[in-house]
Amino acid sequence: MKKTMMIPVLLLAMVMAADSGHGAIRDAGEYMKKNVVTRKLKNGITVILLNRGYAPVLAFEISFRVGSVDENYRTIGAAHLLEHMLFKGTETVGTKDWSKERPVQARMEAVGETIDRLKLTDPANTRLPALEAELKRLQKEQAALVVSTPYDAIYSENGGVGFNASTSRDKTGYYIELPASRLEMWAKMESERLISPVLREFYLERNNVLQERLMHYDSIGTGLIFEQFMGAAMAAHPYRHPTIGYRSNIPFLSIEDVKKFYRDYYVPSRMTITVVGMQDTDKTFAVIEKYFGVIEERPDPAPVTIGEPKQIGERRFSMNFEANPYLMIGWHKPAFPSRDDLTCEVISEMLTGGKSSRLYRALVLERKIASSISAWNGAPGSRYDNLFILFAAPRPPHTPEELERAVYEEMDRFFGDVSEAELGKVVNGIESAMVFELETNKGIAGLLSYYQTLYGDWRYAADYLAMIKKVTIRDVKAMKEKYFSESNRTVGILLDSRAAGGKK
Amino acid sequence: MKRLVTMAVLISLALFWDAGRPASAQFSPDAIKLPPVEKAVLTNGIRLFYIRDELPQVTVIASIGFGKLYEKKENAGISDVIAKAISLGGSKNYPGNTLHEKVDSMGGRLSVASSWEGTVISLKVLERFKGEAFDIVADLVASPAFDQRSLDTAKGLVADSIRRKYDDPAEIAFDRVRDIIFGGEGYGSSPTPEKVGSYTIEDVRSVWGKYCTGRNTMIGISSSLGFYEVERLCRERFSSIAPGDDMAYGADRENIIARVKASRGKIYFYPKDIPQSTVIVGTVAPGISYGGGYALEIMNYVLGGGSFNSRLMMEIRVKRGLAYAVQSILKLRHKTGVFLAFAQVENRTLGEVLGLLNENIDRISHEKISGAEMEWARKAITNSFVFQFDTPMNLLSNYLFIAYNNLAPDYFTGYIGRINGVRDEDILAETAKLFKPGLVTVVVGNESVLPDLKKFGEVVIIK
Repeated sequence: MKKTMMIPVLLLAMVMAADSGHGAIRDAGEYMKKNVVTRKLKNGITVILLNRGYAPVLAFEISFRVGSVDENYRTIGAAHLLEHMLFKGTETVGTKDWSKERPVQARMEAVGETIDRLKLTDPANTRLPALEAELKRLQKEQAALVVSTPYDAIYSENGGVGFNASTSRDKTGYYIELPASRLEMWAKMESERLISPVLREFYLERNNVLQERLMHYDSIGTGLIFEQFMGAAMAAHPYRHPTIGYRSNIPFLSIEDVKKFYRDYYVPSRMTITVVGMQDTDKTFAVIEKYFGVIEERPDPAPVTIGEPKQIGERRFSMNFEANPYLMIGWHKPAFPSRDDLTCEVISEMLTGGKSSRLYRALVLERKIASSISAWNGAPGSRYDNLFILFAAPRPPHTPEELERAVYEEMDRFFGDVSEAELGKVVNGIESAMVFELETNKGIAGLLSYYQTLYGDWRYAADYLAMIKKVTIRDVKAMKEKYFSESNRTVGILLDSRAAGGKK
Repeated sequence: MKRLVTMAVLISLALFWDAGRPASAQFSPDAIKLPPVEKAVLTNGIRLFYIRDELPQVTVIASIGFGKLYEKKENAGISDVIAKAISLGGSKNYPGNTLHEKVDSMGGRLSVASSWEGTVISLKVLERFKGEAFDIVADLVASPAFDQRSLDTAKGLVADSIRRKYDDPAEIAFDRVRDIIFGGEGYGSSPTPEKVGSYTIEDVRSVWGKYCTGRNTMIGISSSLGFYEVERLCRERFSSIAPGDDMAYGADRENIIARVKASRGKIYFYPKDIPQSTVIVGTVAPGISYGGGYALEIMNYVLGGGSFNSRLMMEIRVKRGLAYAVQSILKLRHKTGVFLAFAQVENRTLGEVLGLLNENIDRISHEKISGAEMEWARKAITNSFVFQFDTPMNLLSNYLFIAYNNLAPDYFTGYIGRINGVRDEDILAETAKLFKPGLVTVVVGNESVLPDLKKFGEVVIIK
């Protein structure tokens, strides 16, 4: 192993003065438009670069316009599992000897697929114990040939922080922050892992995903009610499925399906690379072009065809769990960048954005019926029509049902007398937020990457305030009839199983 | 007014390490350079720290030295109640609704929160609202309203947040293990809804009056305004606060260690009907100024703090696929610290994972870490150090941290050198000392795990 020491170039006052990158910022949107550089590689990858900051560090994000919304019933959870598997290396990284490991990996895949199929179709099959024993033996054999979590070791010793990835309904992103001097190392490693990943340790990692699900959903009341809520509110659209997958199907996710998902969706046309921090953008682009330009152009996969049918009556459910009561209410509405989505965004701020907001003031401070209330406009994703959801915790001794009634009373009042002053507060809040978001490289990278990946243009981030300013009180009031109706809503209530004398 | 002139923080250029220096070489104490943070002390003893931010925004932070670490059993949770009461009730000139309306109208972000070490009031606004930001924070610090209505609401909200915290098995496990190690005080402060419901206006006023004094308060400003304007604004707004005394919390280390020793061989079990268990082991760690802390930091990185390649992550998650969340944490604070290692695992594999946790802690207490692990941890810690200073707010926070903990001015600038000066025998010695009293073990999970737990010791039900 080459033992070179990193050069910890730390924060120079001189650098700070020389090129802060945002010395004259007065308008966040204008700043972005003036300084963000966008280019496209020949294979279709979009590259977004911004030179800024005073520390010689860079935030990197590689994102793909693919998430769980792109899955079908057989592959629910594949986007997320694939994201996990891309940390496992390639034919040259993460292995001690690929020529020896390759046949083990191939046999393991065949055995694993067979085990899964038999467990589903013929669980009493007498071959199963022997196959499971063989899988364990193969895993042991592979373990001796593998360098586990190879990228993590390399990145961490090179000063990388926040090496991670995430998968949502809409997109998958890979992140890291590194000293700026590690640009080329990053480009080489990331391009290689995207070009030729090896899905080694698949079955162990699949079980880790199951553990992740148990942690975020099956052991937490608010996680479980969210999952059930989406299933109730979305009757057909794939937004109804949890990104992580179901407890029942994760143990059977097929490695062949995950590989196919990778081939179909990790295509240059769906890929955005964003680099924010101290850099020479021309040099950064040249490095990116050198390493990512070789990725083969592939056809864009078919779009999602299922649309959510119009809801024609209230949907309602309750669930029992060992947790304090909770309430969710959601309404269907269109996605960004429609004007109605922006109006709903304004409504969400008016209702729950800050302690002077309508619902917080009325329900938490004055009526003391809730201990928290918040809104999510654009749940659970924003590539397709989605939901406006209110999340509220009833404050003892009040019940979720009492809180629900109070929410409707306050919303009726709100749509009746919403004021220009409230609109002004929202505009000021968004103007401030846009400046505050310029504080960190990572935050800016995330913002630019989000709009580019989902909507094909990062400039939506820069124009956001101007778009919000076009929303009028008349628009806000019109939303009541258009979307916030009883027949368009779904209500979910979590009840404490302990209150009924034990788990139901 | 006594004024500390700007600390002559090391001048300009970066330090370059020798490329190609062999890993086994002894490292000289390397120094790093930080941009200057201007400092001053107001006549009442308030320490002021300022850093220039080129963004057109102003952040005013007031940190009052009273947090959870100061709490005893008899006033557990009062710091949260105070913070919530201030954020809801506001102050003399900015009472409740007026405060909320003002902050939201400016698009500002106000936070009043109780941390382990302090009650921190911070307000971030666009530069054009600078006057209001100083006014509001100063008034909240000097003249909090503490009216009955806001206090009642605050108590209700804090009580409900405690109840809801117990919906999360990880939160329960962390809370319980700290409670057992620290005896329900300070780091182990563990308020109940009933306890926080008992506090009166006199209680909160008494605490605030005692701790919210000049010598116990620090102000941090990150702003595009110049230092002299900031200093003037601070003098105008914050000078009315009485000087008072410099306060600090205590930690009875001997008693804490005795409690850990008494817990050896026991498994504290909190039953919760869920499919996944949380297991956590922990012990008391030294304070931040302890010289052996650097060795412990490397140890923790290798054991479970250093992402996927740390031992616990590798043994439990990567090699065996037994857990998604597994980690060790070492936190050294002013007077005391804590070490915790935890995992969230399916009930059926809990015994195996608890065994792996114990086995790896035992191994690192008795065997030197390898040269490769030492090299990896050192590089990772030192090469990522820059990210602690990559924004003005991070820099400012670090200066406040040094001041609060009375650390040497070169705490950060000499940090890398001290990490590089740690030897493997130092790590072994400090680790053995850390784990000598034993470990407190807490499990939150379904009762089906009890047979497995009984193999590890006496099970004590703590719900």
